[in-house]
Amino acid sequence: MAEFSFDLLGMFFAALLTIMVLSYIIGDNVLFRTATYLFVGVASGYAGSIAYQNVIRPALIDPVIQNGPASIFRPDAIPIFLIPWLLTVVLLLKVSPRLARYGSFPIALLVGVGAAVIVGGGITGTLIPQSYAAADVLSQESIFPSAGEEPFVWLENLIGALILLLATISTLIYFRFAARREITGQAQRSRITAVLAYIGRIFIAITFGVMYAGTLTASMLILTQRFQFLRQVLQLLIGGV
Amino acid sequence: MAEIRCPMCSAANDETAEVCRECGARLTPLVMDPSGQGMGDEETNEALPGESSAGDDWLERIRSGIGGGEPQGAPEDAPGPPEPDASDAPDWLDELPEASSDDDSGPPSGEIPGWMDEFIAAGEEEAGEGEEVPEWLARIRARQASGETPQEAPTDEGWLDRLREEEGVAEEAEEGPVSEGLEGLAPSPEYEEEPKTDPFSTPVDLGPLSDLPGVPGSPDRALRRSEVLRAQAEVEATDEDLPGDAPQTEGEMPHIPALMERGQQERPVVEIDDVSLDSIELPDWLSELKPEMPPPTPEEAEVQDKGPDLAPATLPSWLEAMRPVDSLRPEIEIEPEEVQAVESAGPLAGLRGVLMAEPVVAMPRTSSVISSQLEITERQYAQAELLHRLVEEEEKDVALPASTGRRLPILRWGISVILLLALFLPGSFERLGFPGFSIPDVVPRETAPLIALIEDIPGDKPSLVVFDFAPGYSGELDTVASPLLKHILDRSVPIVTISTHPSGPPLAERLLREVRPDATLINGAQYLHLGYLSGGPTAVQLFAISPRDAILTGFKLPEGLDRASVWQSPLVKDVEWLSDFGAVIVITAGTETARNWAEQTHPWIGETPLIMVLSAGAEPLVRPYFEAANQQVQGILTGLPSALAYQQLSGQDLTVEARWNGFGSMKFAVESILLAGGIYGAATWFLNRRQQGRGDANG
Repeated sequence: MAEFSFDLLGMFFAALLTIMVLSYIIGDNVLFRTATYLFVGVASGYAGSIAYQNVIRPALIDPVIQNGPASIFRPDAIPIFLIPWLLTVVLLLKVSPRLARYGSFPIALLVGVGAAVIVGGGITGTLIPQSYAAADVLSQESIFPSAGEEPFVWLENLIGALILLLATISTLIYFRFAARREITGQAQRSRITAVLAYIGRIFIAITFGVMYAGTLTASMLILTQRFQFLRQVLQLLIGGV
Repeated sequence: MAEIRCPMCSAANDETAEVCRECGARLTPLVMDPSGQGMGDEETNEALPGESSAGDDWLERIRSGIGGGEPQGAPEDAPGPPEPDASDAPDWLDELPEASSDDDSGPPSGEIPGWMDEFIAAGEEEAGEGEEVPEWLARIRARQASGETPQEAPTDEGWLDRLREEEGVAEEAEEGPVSEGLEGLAPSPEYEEEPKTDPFSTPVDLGPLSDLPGVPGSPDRALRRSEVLRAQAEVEATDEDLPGDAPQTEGEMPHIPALMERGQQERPVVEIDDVSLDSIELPDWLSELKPEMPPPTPEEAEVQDKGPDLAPATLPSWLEAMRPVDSLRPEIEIEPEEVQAVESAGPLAGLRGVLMAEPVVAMPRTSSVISSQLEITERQYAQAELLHRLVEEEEKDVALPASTGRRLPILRWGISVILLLALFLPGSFERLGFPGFSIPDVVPRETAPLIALIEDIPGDKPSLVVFDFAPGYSGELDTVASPLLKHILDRSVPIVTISTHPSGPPLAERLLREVRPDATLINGAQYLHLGYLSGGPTAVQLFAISPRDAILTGFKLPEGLDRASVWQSPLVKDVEWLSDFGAVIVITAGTETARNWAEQTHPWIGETPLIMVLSAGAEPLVRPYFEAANQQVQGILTGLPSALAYQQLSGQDLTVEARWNGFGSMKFAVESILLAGGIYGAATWFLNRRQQGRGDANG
């Protein structure tokens, strides 16, 4: 029997919560709901405390305490201190239904800046590099065998490059929804576009299948880890099996 | 002083004024006024070459007759047109019989202009030639000579008298349909218009156009007028001698509607029947045409009979319903004169109140009539019906399914039991004599380069480890990331942690303690927590540009370090940029987080390698960054097999092997369940199809 400690108590409590969540096997019950409510509450409280300790306090409160309220209006403090304060106060107006519209400005600022950062990063970090990578598949080094390279290795690389190119083009064509309208009013793709789009749909299905398999594998690994943890706790309780 | 009212604006003007002082409209004609003022006779004589002064005398006599016996050459200050009397008819019309009774002899022969004498002489010569006389005229003359006519025709114009009578009948029957055979007898338009217009009005000087034939005021037209007047006088003289006619009082006008005396009642309308039409003496050429006309068919006769029965301006009901009444309704508002716009262009420029050049109906405006029927195609109608049906179905109350009793989740319990057995059985493999699942021999191709990359991390630079996953994924990611972190710590490379999740820093502390459970791992010397990075992708970019501006404090800092001085730690004192780290290792379970770090740090990461430790579900979308020729992710580690291979290749103890049997048995169980489910689904589909085929065969 292990000696009592806070770590051991924490292990018992964690094992108990794990069993309460696994009780969902027999259906929705009080134990499962209690565990989920507890997780949600603890996670929210902890996130709030982390936000205060790591963001609000060092950015908005500590400078006032250390340098005094007059430091807010110093010219060098305006962009890094006064403006964040004003935006925070205006954002708090969202609490009042009557003044909520004034809090839209910081929200708009957040959304606009966030969108600009994501789009810019997507173009420079994903779209252009990945386009170059797709175009580089048919480079001279990929098509022609290098000196001393085994024929099977070269053939494997060549087939892989062609499959990659076909997958890229067909997937992009699948998301091209422009089509000619027939006399009957139905939009009809051309034959080549339809075939390539069908191939692209196959590649997309394969990709989603791989993602689903990966998620299932991750879930099995997590469940295995949880049962190993329960087994360790049980061994601690009964003194080792 | 007499005044003249402007016909345009009704403003009072001096009678001598030529233009209106208000609107500028001309008050007197440019050519000649009716009173003979303006242009004198001399000018008129000059305008009519060849007309002698004698010709003016008889014309002036006629004018004097119109003017009620006023002598010619009335004083120049005589009023122009007489003011309208209380009676509706003008004075000249009342006095017209006097003119016709007094001077009906026309101009004396000696006073006829020379050009007219020549014309008359030419006409007499033509009349004298017997060959030139038409046959019908010769027959009429012969009949008159033989005394067949009931009254004597003193002159050769007796045919004109009969024609006058027939014409009077035709005029009285104007409202009825005129037979085609009588069209030739109908008066010519000129003859019809002569009595309606003022025959004695002063001719208008048209200048050179006066010489053209057919133009009013031309010599030939004047000759015709004189002949007509002469014929009228002869007809009146003949009518007076006729015993059968009603006695005519002096001044009684012939039966010409335009010249009828006021108060005189119209003659009764004479019905035209076939007998009266047939009794008319027609020319031969007209008689020959008559039998050729086919008689109307009964249908045509019916149509002709029905035609006049239609009420005028009667529209069918369907056309009446389509007629946009409001849109065609004239919206004319009579505004005061001061408000009316002044015409700015055209011959009426400067005048107020002129009619609009553009009809009111052509002006664009919004119709107040909105058609209630839309023109839609069948497809649109079908779509509208479908939408209507969907909305109706949404409003319907859905009956609750009949309660069949609480069913036990047998399938869920069965799967749960199988998985629990798969988890607990590996612990008994040794007792059961089962060696367990073998460790895979196939090593992922990215594992060896990753180990080499970790080996190349400089020991004097800290490695940044990003813990961007929720606690729920710690069971997987702790297992996968622990060999890599252990490798780094074994190389004595300091680790600096950060997270964009609030729960990331404690997870980092926990994992590091698991990797190195002994007391050799010192906070602040071998690892340091920068803490929580708030702001998502924006904060990641800000951290990549300037790490010291993005992180203000740390997490669980070692003693001696203030919260505000996390960057004073010896581990990060040389870190100014992201490229100052030895490596950036991102441990994440989401594709979005991995992509944010790859995209936002790409421009500023420099030569520092970016390594991804991923959950198995996020690998497919992150691998392209690793597989590209120009790698944005230099190393990737995902899944338990890769972690086991990493431990094997890096020479670590196989700590993850204990989970391999449980993971293997569960994987085997899940694969068995999926295979069983697939077989069950295929068998069900096959049986259903077979049963359906039998049902179709049985009808």
